[in-house]
Amino acid sequence: MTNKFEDIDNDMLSLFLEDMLPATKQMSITNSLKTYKDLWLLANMYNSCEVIRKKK
Amino acid sequence: MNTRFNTSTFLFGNKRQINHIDAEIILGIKSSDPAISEFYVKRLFYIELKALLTTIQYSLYKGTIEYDELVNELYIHLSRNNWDALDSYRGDNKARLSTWLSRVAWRFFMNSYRKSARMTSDEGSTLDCVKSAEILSDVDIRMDIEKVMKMMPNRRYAEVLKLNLYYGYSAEDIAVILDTTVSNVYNIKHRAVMQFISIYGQRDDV
Repeated sequence: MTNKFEDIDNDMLSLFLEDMLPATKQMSITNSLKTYKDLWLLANMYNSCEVIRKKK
Repeated sequence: MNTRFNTSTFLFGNKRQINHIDAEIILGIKSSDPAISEFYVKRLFYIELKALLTTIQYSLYKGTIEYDELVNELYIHLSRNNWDALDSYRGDNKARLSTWLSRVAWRFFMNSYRKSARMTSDEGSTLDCVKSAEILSDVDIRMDIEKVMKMMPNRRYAEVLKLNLYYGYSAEDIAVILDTTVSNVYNIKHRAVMQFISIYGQRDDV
């Protein structure tokens, strides 16, 4: 399991944001969050993508 | 002006699975024809990334920075060495360019935000200024998070997030506190994060 949110690679996070990642890999991302900042950043990235998806 | 490319004629490498629209944008931006490049740059920053950059403008900068300023900063960051940064985008499993750029842009502006907070404090030349600027952004984030946590229907989820991400308790410690197993703590944390993200996106003030 990846230890830090910063260490999650681009592809894995992109798939997470697109809801295309298997559950176990999703868990590895959510469990890599160590601080409020990590959570805040992920929530903002995720919801930015949601807004983009809805507009398309 | 015919700016459309036949993207199937371009080779992005065996391991890249880029959507044809995203491929067209990348090739257009990297075009040696300035008119074509400008057309696709505008499309990327003012159409594809409009929602993302607007969210960053109001969520991170609280509307204190102009949209065009954000575009300018991100443009400079991405366009270095003939847009080499875009070469890192692989499009695996059909992940879109805008999704990938969402992560890149958030990280870029978060770092930029932190640096500018530090620089402003350095100009004040007192340690207190440095501390207050750094604390200010942390406080903003904490308040934003706790506002959403109060809206979470499952209090146990919010409790686990606070114990882990604010107080820094390990999964093992939380398992003892909540009288459960470590693997259950990881499961709760995952569900809590997903619930948090969902509620975060439904707030009225976003």
